[in-house]
Amino acid sequence: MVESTGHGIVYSFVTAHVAVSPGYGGPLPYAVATVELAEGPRLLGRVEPPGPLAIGDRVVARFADHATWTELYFEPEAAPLPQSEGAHS
Amino acid sequence: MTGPASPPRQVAALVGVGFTPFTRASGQSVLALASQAVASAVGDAGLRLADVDGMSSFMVSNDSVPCVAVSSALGLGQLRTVLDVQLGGQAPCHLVWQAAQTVARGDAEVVVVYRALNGRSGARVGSMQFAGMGGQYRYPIGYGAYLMYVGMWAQRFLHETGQGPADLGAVAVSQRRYAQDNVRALRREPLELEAYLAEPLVVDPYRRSDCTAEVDGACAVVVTTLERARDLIHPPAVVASGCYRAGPRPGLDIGDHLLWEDYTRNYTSWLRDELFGRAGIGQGDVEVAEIYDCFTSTVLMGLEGLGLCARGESGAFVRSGACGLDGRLPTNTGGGLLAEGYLHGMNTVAEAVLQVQGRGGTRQAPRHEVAVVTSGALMDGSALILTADR
Repeated sequence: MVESTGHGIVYSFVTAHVAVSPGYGGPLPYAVATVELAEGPRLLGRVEPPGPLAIGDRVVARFADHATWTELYFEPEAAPLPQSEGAHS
Repeated sequence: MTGPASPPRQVAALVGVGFTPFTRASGQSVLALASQAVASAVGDAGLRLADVDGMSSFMVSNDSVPCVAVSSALGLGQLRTVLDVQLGGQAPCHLVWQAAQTVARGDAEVVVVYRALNGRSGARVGSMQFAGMGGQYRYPIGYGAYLMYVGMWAQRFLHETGQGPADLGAVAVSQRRYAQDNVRALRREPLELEAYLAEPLVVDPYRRSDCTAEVDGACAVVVTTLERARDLIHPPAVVASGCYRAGPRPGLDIGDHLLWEDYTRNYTSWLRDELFGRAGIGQGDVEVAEIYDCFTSTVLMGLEGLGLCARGESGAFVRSGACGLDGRLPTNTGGGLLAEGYLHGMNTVAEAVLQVQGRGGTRQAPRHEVAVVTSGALMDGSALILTADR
């Protein structure tokens, strides 16, 4: 079990310009990111608002209540990390 | 990882291939398609249906028909081995390797491996919903399509290796050239890089031409002992090596990658030493490559993962023309899944067989004694090395 502050960086992401995901009826385009939390584990979530996004961007987890479920999504944080490359090849 | 110490066992071969036409609406049952491709492959090998004593196939969410149904439809004699697996594009090389070992053991003598589906007019894997497991967390947020999953890897891969749209585009362009010579291919219209780059993004980083063409159709290949293969009409494509690998924590399903550490290296990185080691063949010996290409990025990742290109150099390799017919390593010579059609990699294997047998026609690679084939895109997959009989 890891307790998280909800802060993390974008490990990778996709931006959908076409509604290819079955059942999706929300706005386009939208972004879904794999976020590496500061504590280590990764989570998946939409990035809202979906503006220009890059690997290494800082994001923070937020919750949104829908009719039957609660969504964990991410919100971009203002200041980018000093080394936002994240490349470790 | 090291290869096994025992000498390469080259006792099985691929001897025939069969196809139905690849269409957008077959108007036929999957059973009819499967039966047609199997019969065609057996005939192509110069064998009789009565010679078949083993079958294997794969399907995703029951989008195909089991081996016994095809055996019944074709009125085959007894089957001595059968394997129906729930796998997608990871399966073809794996099943051929299993068939090779089966005939090597003597458990059966002629095994047909097939894939059949109405993948365009029927259930489409690219947008199929899979119940339970990881999907329940993905569908509600709009993360539920195969191209999004592979795109998530592609984005990170391009980022870490310093590659971009022109590198993906080079793959689409290179393969489309081959498709112009392939009557089976669904996408045969010419494609240039400028036109590729002008296509709108579907899911960043993919454009339409980065994505496979879903089709209806079937494809089958025939495996038998090398001894028997030498008596048949075509030269044998010897199964020199095969390998399946799932890397650590491959996830609950095809879309669950949260515990997979490195999105820039797929199963090809994990199996390459065993694959080449078992065959006693080096990367420099490979003359033809058929790399699984549901999306352009998996070709780049496969070339690098197998060690056919250095890390970060696959895009430049393809852009240099190296994957063309007159290049250093003709790759995806039938147009690949991108242009020929999405038979989930069964046609990728069949194209390798045709190349090694020297039956590639106008798209025949000039040197074709050693071919490598892969099946799969992400956490798990399989591969084969096929050689001429030498």
